[in-house]
Order: sequence, then structure tokens, then C-alpha cells
Amino acid sequence: MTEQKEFESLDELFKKSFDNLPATPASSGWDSPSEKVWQHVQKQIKPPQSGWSTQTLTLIAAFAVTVTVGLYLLLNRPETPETPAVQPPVATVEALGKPAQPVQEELASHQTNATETLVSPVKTVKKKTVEAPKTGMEKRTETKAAKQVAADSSLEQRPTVQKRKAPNSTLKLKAELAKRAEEAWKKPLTPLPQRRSNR
Amino acid sequence: MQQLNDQELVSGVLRGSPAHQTALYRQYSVPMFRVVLRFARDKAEAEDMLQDGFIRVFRDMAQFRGDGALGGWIRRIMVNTALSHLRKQRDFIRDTADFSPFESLFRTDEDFASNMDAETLMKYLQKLPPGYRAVFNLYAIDGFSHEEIAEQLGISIGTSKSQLFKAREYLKKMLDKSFIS
Repeated sequence: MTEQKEFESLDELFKKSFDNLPATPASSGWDSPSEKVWQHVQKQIKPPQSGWSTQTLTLIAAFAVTVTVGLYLLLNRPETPETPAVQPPVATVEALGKPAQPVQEELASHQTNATETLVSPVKTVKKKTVEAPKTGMEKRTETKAAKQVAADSSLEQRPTVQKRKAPNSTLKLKAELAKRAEEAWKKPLTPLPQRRSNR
Repeated sequence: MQQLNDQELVSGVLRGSPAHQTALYRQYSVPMFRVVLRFARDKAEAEDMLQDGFIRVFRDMAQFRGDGALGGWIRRIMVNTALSHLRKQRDFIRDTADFSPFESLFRTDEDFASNMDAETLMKYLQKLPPGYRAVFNLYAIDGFSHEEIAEQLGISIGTSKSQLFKAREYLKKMLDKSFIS
């Protein structure tokens, strides 16, 4: 009983001592916090920055520059030909443009009087587009001539690849050549002289 | 600086006004420091508690509904912050204390109490183990029941009672020695 009373008095002693402290802190400073506490609190409760931060502005500027440069490059890039890159159109055109001298020589070795038919390789090459029936002889000569022409042109005309014309002019040239070839085929061939018998 | 009332302080702090934040801190830092000093083992720990407590006050100011005094609301935050600091300590609650029973020489007369200043009592209180100190503070000074203390500290009611008993005995012993000397 006595102990309980003592305890209650003890509680009261502490409670009274702490509750009845004066409003102003003690001169010794035991009950006043140091100034660094407020400095730390201030750091933690910084108000949100108004407006745009430097980092945000930098990011926006970088994005804008990227978009501008991208659009500029996209809109001002040089026109590329529509034909696939696998086919070398220049070489074909160049080959078609030349009536291929070696083909003449080759044909001359087989036929004596066939100057008109010398044009045939070029014609037959173009004939593919018209899809006309071909003889076995024609096919062979076509293939050989085409190969020869392609080889020549690839060797001789290599530097000209760099100077190739714009795609529109190439198409025009192609069309013109095709037209010329068709016209040539329409001309009737002169009959060959009859062979003499070797008996 | 002229003291602002609670409403002005709260609205200013909610607007983010640095002047109002400073005013609130200046107005409540000393009384709240006295509160956390009771729970801390020294002044440095009390300053840590005060700092964390005020950060919570400013952060959670929007939750203050104004149905009570601002001082009471801040005090509750400070006590909770102090308790969470104590809970982090490894041996926060000790159920067994190894001090022997002693003959009570404690006097309860007014003269003795008036001679004991708050600073000395605070030092005695700070010498208590953290669990004793927390339970004694909450029960004897802040007026919580053992049920509330048990809930707040996550201990049983029996542990709360035993911690209070041991805290009182410990304080009595210290006061006795002080009185004799």
C-alpha cells in the first residue's frame, strides 16, 4: 500500500516537473534543440519547384532538336530508283543501247549473208517482253549475245555506273528501245538465196 | 515575431509558405523537444526524433482536421516518432532486469520534489533502459492505459505492467542515491 503511494507520488513528481516547465527554454539550453535540426527539416520539406527545371528544359530541347533533324533528313533525302537494287538497270540499259559488235562477229562465223539477223540478239532480248515464240537457234544466239554484251558492258561501262542517269530517263530509254525493237521486228526479212548443192 | 494562431499556421504551411513553416517550428520546437527528450537516452537522439517528427508534421499537415489543438496533434506525432525510434533499438523491451531490491528511502514530501529540477529528473529518466523509459513516460506522464501502451508498443499488457514497475523501482533507486548524497 505504502509502495503504491510512493509510486504514485513518483509519477506525480515527474509529471508535475515536466508539465510546469516555463514557456521559455532554460538558459543552460538543455531543453532547446540546436539550429541544425531546423536546417535539416527545411532541407526535407523544400516546396516543389515552380516552373520548369533545367533538367526538364534540357530534355525538351534535346527532343525538339532530334525531331527537327529527323524531319529535315526525311523530307530532303535524295530520291532512290524504284527498281530493286539487285538488278543492275544501268548495265542492262547500256547493253541494250549498244548493238553489240561481238555478236556480229560471232554470227558471221556461222552465217555468211545474214546482216539483217545481226540485230536479232538485241531484238530477241527485247522480244522477251513481247513474249514471241523463239527457235532453238535464236535462243542460243540470244543467250550468247546477251552474255557477251553484259560482260562487255560490265567491264567497259563500270565507271559510267557512277554517272547513271535519273530513273525517269532510264525508263524512257527502255521504252524507246522496246518500241524500236518492235518496229524492227515488223519489217519483213529478205529471203535468203537458195543454197547450191555440193554434189 | 508575433505568434500566429493554429489556423493561420496550418493554412500557411499548406500553401508552402516558408515563413509559416518557420513560425510553426519556432512556436512548437521547444515544447516538443521536451517531449522527445523524455523518450530519448540523450540530447542527440532527442534531436533526431524531433527532426523526424517535424518532417512528418509538415508532410502530413493536410491530415490535420482542426477538430483539436494543433499542439496536441503535433505532440501525438512526436510521441509516435519517438516510439518508432525506440522500437528500432535491439533490446528495446527487457523483461528481466538485474537490479536487487533495495530499501526505499524515497521521500514524498513537497520540499524534496521542489528541490528536484526538471533537468535532473530528465537525466534520471534518460538513464532508464528504453523499454522502461517508454512505458513510464506513456503511463505516468502522457496518461495512457496499459492496454493502449501494449497496443502501441506491440507488447502484452503484463509486459507493460512489469516494465512500469521496474522503471519506477529504478527511478526510486536513483532518486534515493541522489537524496542521500
